Amino acid sequence: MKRIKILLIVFIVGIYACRPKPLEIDIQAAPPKLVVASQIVPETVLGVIVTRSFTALQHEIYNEGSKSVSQEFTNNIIVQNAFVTVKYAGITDTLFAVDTIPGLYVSAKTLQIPYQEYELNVYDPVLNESVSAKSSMLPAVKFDTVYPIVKGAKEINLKFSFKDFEGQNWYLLNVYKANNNSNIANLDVNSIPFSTGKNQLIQTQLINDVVYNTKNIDIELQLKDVTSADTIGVTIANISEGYYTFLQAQSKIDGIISQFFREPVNTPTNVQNGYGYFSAYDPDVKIIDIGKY
Amino acid sequence: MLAQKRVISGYVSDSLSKESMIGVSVFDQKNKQGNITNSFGFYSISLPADSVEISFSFVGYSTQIIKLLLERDTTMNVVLHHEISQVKEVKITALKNKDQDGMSLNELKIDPKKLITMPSFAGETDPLKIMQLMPGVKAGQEGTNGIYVRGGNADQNLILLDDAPVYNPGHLLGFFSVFNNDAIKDVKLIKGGFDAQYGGRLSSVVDIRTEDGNMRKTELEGGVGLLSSRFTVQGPIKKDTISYMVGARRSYIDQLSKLTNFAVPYYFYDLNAKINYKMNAKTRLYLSGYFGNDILTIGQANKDQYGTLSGFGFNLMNSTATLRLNREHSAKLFANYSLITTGFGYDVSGQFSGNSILVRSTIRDWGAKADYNYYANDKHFVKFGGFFTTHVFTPNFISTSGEITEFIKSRVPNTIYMNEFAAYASDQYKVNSKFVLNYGLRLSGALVQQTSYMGLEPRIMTAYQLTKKFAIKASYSRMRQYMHLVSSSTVSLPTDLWYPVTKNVRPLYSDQYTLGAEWTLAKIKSKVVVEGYYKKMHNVIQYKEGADILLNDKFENEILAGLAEAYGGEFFIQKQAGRFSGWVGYTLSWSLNYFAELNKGKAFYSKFDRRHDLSIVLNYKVNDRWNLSAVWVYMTGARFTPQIGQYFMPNSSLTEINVIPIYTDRNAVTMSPTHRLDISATLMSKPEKKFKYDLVFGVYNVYNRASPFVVEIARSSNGSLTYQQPGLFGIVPYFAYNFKI
Repeated sequence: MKRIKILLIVFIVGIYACRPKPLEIDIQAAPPKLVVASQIVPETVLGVIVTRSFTALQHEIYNEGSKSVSQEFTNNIIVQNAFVTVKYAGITDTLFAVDTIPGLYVSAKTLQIPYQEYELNVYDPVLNESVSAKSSMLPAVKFDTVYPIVKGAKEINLKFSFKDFEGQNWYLLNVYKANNNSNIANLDVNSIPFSTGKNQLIQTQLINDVVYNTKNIDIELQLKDVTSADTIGVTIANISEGYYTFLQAQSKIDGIISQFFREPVNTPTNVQNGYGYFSAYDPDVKIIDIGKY
Repeated sequence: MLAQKRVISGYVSDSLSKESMIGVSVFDQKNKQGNITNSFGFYSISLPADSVEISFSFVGYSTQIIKLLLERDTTMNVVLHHEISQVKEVKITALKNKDQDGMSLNELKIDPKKLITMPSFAGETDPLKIMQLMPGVKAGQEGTNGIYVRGGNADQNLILLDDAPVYNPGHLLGFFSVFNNDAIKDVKLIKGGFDAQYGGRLSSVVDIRTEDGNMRKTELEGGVGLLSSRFTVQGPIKKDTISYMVGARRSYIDQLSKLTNFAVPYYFYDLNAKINYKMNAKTRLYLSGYFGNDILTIGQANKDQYGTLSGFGFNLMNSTATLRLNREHSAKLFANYSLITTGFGYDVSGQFSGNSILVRSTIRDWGAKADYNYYANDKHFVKFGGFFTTHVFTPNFISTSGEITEFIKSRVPNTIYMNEFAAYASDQYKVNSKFVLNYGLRLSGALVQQTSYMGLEPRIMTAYQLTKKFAIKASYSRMRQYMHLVSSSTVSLPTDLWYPVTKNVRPLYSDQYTLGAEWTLAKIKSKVVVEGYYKKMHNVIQYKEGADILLNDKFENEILAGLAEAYGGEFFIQKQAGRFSGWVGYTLSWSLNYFAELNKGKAFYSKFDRRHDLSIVLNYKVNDRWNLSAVWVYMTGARFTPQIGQYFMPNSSLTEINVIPIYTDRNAVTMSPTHRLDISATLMSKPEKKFKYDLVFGVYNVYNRASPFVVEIARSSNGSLTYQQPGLFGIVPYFAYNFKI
């Protein structure tokens, strides 16, 4: 029996040792392009983040031994000296770079005009590249009602309703909570939907009105990771179909499972000659202290 | 004045076993008319009432010539004797006897008994793998036995075992087929020019018949390989009246691995059984069945309330049963009636940290069919019949407990019933001695969830013998398919599921045209076949970008319907006789998909669009005891969609950053080519010995080259990241011992 065992081990080791050397294949990398992300704080500011795409074979993204992105890598992909403008209604606003957040360009004077088309232009003088994108500011949707239904300490539903606009529409609902659940003061109301590190997006719901037959859309949503002691921020926005599709695609590539079991996703973009999405929308924000319900 | 016609009919059987023989040429030398025996060994020919000289011939058997004066309708059962010299040449033929019409690369026959000397992976002889060496048939990935025929997907092949469809033809996640070579009598692959009797899939039919059981004496047959062993016994229950066959196979890697302290808790087994009852001279009854299981068990041996395995494990179950009644209603009319059930199901279960999950899916068919062969006269051979099957789908039963219930809810699915039916008729019309026309029509349909589908499937094949050595042929076939396999294109899982068409997912259908020519090269005892094909497939399915089909019972929402087309040319030269035999098969092909919602609406190639596919099979009979074989294959690499870039993108509130991958167009990149050399040497027992054995020594992948099956990003020796294509198996030496008493 011992001989058989030795023979088997030798055979298995031998087979393993003969594993063929993997073949290398040269695949042309996608050339780096400018990436645009935008956000609007209602009545406050229009912000655009400009970065650069990078190869799939980039191997120095994270700090050694952690999942945090290395500063060196961040510096390489952030576009710090871009010339960013927004054109609308015959006006051209130039966005200025925020010193404390490299790659972020903001404009506090850009008017938010419903149905107005906005054209974003970004020029990177370092690489001599430019991209552009257009987006229409859709009319802001407002909550008719929004309140929690407390079914248990960890079983909270969110009930909300709003009036659907004419035609086919798409909406985005985001739910935030403060990182420290116990203290209402930690929810940075003014920063919503911008993050200062204190707010945490805990849930996103994309709504396509074709699913609902009524003009008053009434939804009850089961909240995740929320307790009766939390304070939450809820925003709703009327978004374009393109941005809806973009967010849908983005949600499909979250998580490790998607890499193995899902079909590849080519995330759509409205950026000419670049990646990302320029979307102008005006969210309605509500802060809810669940403990009061 | 026309001479009066008489009918001569009967069965052809093997002299030793008395088993019926399929595909024997029955040919009247005097009138130059003939036929071949059908799947049950029956033949019938109408000849002038005159003296006739009928030859019965089959490769490996002595030709028998019978002269008689045909004054009346005559029944003549014939036995053929094995040739004394045991020539173990590999017999795979695309070219049948000269009096079989419509012959072409469209139809390939494999004699499983002659495959033992061929090189194989780990010595496991597998008819489905041999098919992958034929033109027009492409392998999926290394180690799997999935076949992709003329641009079709793997689920477009109808695999029949004694008339019962086999839904999962693979063991060990597809590394081996479920077909025990010893228990198989005949294998036929049809790629185009389909007879009207076949339907239900777009791309091919693999028709496998099991051994009937020796009517004369008990026979033992078996083999010991690296990964599994098999044993088949057959013999008479009542001599020349009732016979049986039982074949079993089991892998033992689980047992062997225990000796190395590196447990591989996986095994498979299967069982074939058949009873053959010759009720009288005109009636036979066959009862055959198959049962197979793949079992993986990691962890404890506890069972939950559903009786499934705990820890982590899966259990894949395949089963078929067929009851067939052959009836010779008259010398001209032969019928086969079948009751069929077949099923496939799996349990995948896991238990961890107080959580448990069980996923179970099944498909079960209950069906009946009737097939008639009517040998009308010397000009017309008519086939007609029909079938009805109820398919019962129970997909994604899920039972969960523990915290996992928050993410995966328990679910009792709705059972889906689909009734599928078909009726057909075809006529093989011998217009004259040179021109044969085979035309037919099939009406098929399905009723599912208050939705009905029905469609006609016309078929036509022609063959024209221009000279004695040169023939041309052409065919057209429409095929319809009412079910499909929901399977990820990125990874093959045991959880791949068959689903029926629905109100929203319409039946697939295809139109295939073929044109070919055949030469006989008598000097080198070879034949050459060249064939071209064009196939257009409608309502084929693909998944939306980012589609999640794992445990998704609303998969319909993830499906897109589109168009696919495939075209190409096939070349085949085969030397069948002599010490040196073998073949060369080459395919040049294209396979394209058109989906408005995918790849920005642009056409894209199929995953297994392999432009060049070459197989060279050589067999040299050194003497009566030694045989040498070699197989070399070359294939253009499979296609894939690599990630070629990425970027950071904040979420919709700029609170988190996601890494967004950038891909090429769908299937835009081709992996490196696959090429591999396998060799084997076989030592056979002395021909005169009663106890016969074969000792097969072989080497798989002689020069140890990786056959890419995936592209991954890996770190190279200098620390940078590169795209690499690993292969599954390197050089694998093996031996196998086969015996027969």
